Amino acid sequence: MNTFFKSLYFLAVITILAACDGNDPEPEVVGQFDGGVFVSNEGNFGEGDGSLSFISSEGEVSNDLFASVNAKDLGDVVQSLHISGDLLFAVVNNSNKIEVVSLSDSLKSQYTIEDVALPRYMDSDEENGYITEWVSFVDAGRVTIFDLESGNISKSIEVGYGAEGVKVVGEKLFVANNFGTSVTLIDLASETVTTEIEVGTSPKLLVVDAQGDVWVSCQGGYDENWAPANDGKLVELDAATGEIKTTLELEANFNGKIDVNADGTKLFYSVGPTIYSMNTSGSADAQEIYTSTSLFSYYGLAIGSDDMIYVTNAAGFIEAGSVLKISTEGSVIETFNVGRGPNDFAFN
Amino acid sequence: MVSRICVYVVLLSLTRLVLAQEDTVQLEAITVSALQFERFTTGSQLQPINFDVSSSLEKALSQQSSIYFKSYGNGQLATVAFRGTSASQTNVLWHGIPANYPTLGQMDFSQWPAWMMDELQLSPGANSSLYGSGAIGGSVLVDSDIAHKSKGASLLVGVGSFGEFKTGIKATYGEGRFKANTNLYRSYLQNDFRYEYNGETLRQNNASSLIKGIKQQFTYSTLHGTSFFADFQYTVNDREIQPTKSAPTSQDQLLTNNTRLAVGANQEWSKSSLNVTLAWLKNDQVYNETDQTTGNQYSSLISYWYQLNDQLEFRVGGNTNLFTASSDSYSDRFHDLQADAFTSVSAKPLLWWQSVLNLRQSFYADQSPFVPSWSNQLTIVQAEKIHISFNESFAFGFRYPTLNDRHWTPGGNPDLQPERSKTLDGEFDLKLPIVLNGVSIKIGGYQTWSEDWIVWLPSEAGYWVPQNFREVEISGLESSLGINGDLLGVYMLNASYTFNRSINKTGSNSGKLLPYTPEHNARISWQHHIRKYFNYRLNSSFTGKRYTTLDNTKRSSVAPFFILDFTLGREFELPLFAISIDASINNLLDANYENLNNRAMPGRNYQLQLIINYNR
Repeated sequence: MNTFFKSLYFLAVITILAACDGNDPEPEVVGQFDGGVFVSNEGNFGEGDGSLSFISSEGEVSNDLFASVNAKDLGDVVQSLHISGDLLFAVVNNSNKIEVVSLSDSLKSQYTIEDVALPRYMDSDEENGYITEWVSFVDAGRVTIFDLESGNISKSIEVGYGAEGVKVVGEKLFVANNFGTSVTLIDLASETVTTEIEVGTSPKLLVVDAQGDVWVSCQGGYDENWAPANDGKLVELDAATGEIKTTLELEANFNGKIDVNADGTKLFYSVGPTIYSMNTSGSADAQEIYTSTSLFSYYGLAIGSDDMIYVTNAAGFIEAGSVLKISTEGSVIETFNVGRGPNDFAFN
Repeated sequence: MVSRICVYVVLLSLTRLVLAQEDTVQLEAITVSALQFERFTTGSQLQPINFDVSSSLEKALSQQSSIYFKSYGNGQLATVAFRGTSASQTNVLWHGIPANYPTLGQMDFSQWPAWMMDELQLSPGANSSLYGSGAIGGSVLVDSDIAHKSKGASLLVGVGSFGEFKTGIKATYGEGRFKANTNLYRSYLQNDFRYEYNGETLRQNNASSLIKGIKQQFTYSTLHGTSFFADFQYTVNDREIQPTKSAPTSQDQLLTNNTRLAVGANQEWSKSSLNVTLAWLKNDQVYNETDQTTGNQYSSLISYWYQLNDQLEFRVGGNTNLFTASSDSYSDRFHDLQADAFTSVSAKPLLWWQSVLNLRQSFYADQSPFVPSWSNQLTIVQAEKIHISFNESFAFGFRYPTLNDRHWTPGGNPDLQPERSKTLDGEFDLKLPIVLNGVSIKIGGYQTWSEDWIVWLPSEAGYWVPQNFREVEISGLESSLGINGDLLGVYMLNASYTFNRSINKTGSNSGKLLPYTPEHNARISWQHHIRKYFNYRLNSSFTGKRYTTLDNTKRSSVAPFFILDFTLGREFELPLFAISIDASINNLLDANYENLNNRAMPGRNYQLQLIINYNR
């Protein structure tokens, strides 16, 4: 029986040894967030490994911030971020929630909004937050209004299918209906829908330029064989009336990610691997800024208060992604390694 | 770590305790048909799996250390991957016919109740020349032959934790040369187990699973060596899809119907045989009551075997598989035809040397892979007390793109080439037949070079498109120890350990491990029959850390886990009936573990089942 027991012990020892592994260091928590940028990392759909990263003004990266501070995972598909005052909002699409943390209190969780269905983006005014929700793939989308301080939901307003980008402009709320072709206008005083504006295929995000006009990106559609229709466009809307002022046809489909520089005079977008800018008034000719030689396209795009272009490489979601910081002259300043599927930014 | 050490101490202590008693009960041996494959394999290329028909297949297969059983939750989608490959690189054959769902290119083993299976064999390693498309990691052979089954009937009733209730009845009957088997099964699992997440205890609220199945088989044998068979199976699985821990409010569900029909004729002569099998397999899935995908497969298989003399035998044959499918995600209806021709030679030129050559030429669309395999078994010592042999094989594998890869809208890519692989295997096999009741030790290694792995990648068009992208090299060591003895009764100890490294050779993460390919897998199982009617079984498995992304960082990994299951059984023999009662404690140590990232698995749970066998 000796051999028998020796063999058993041998296998047991091998197994136990195999279980001993080197430990990677825990991510360091940065306490001061002024002047830096938060990055939402979607994570892989269904794996629940979405996360929050922060790039400080000195270029130091901290990953997995929400989980390391709050001892819980951020969730599945962290779609977007929004900052209002001291609060950072992380919109977690497939977990059907908004996680809210305090910037002055080391990103400690303040509250969680859970009565939302496939939330996408948010914007806010002084009192209220406005969350767009897809609701489902067969129901109309909606905008849910909640109190910023308490997180209590006061009302939901039905809009078009696939409610996506949302922007507060004065007393109006602009909502892009991504599964359709329109932007819905809501009067915030009465909290009712006033108009629906036809803009183009798959409206995605909204930004406000120096003149106070609203720009909406339309991603473009597909024909019956799923060949791109190449009808992506940028549409300028009059903020007061909602009327279309100008349209820039991109003659391509694109990801719909747009942003404006700090003074709102230039609008930035990318088509495939190329980043462009255009003036928001006067000549609408686009200017090519930078073309990647290694990527098909960027996943996220935003302009910092330092007028730097931040784009993300989602790396096919099979590994951690990265953020590229590019100057408006087209020089890559730095690359930051962040979490899986980096998507959206919030500048503090 | 401490808990893991404790487990083994407990396990070893129990083992010692058991060995202090005595009696003998012979364990049931399983019968294996599928001769057409067996004759052209060497060594342990084909391994019969002893499984408990009343339990889940997951339990049986999880005892194989060369397999990674990927389960998306308790009673949820469950696939098997051999030797650090992916689940779609596992070929599944039923009566020799490819049985993977053609749209996905995988088999969901949770939808095929063990109660409805008779024989199960595993063939780790590449061997597409013998088994066809998909056999890059390994093959699972499901088979059934009632011609040699004795008449009788069995009734199963089982209850378990989380609202599990299952019943099954099957009977083998017939007169003269006609025999039939009828099999009915139903199981329901509410699956509302509790789990820990983010410091809270939560209850699973969308993970129930209902399985219903019927199987009917017939055989008829003539006096002249001709036999006919028909095997019909229909199963329904109505399942809520267990959400991830981080999206617990998700309410998705999947309804799956599987229909399988195989009819065949077999003519046996003294030194040759001819086998013809025709089959229809239908897999129908409805997601959230709206999205329906139906795959139909019409297959034929013909093979002729001829034995020239004791040293030389041949096989030649061919098969065709016609696939059609309809789905909201396919823009057109299509007919995809695959056709293969194959031949095999097994030679024993010397008493101590068996050599097998398999060749296959396959055709699918504009692809025509040709794959050989060559394996040798060398007997080094063949004495009464000791057998030592060395097995070696060099085999090619390929896997065709799935129907989704080719036809999914948008993205489906009809220009995909098959994935390809080459595998070199070697294994020493030591048997000590008269030490105790038999001791067997196997130690082997393998190396696989593979290319053109199909990966869905973002495209310029704005959606994902499958491409022949990745190159992977896999190396591994496998070891196993089997001991049969007799102390107060028959005992069986099986222990195995596999070390595997599946290395990505493409892109910026070249040199890193592929996601969900654990480096370490270890299994120890112990079965002991004490006196005539009492038995207990301990099954333990250790699965090493798995990365979830290609960059192999700790924050993208799933922790190793150790699971111990314990079953206590009692058998009663009555004049016409044999009754067995099993009580099981699964996950005895209440491990909080994940098989896949963020998919909760149940803690300690219990099952009680009764099987009544009627033998006329």
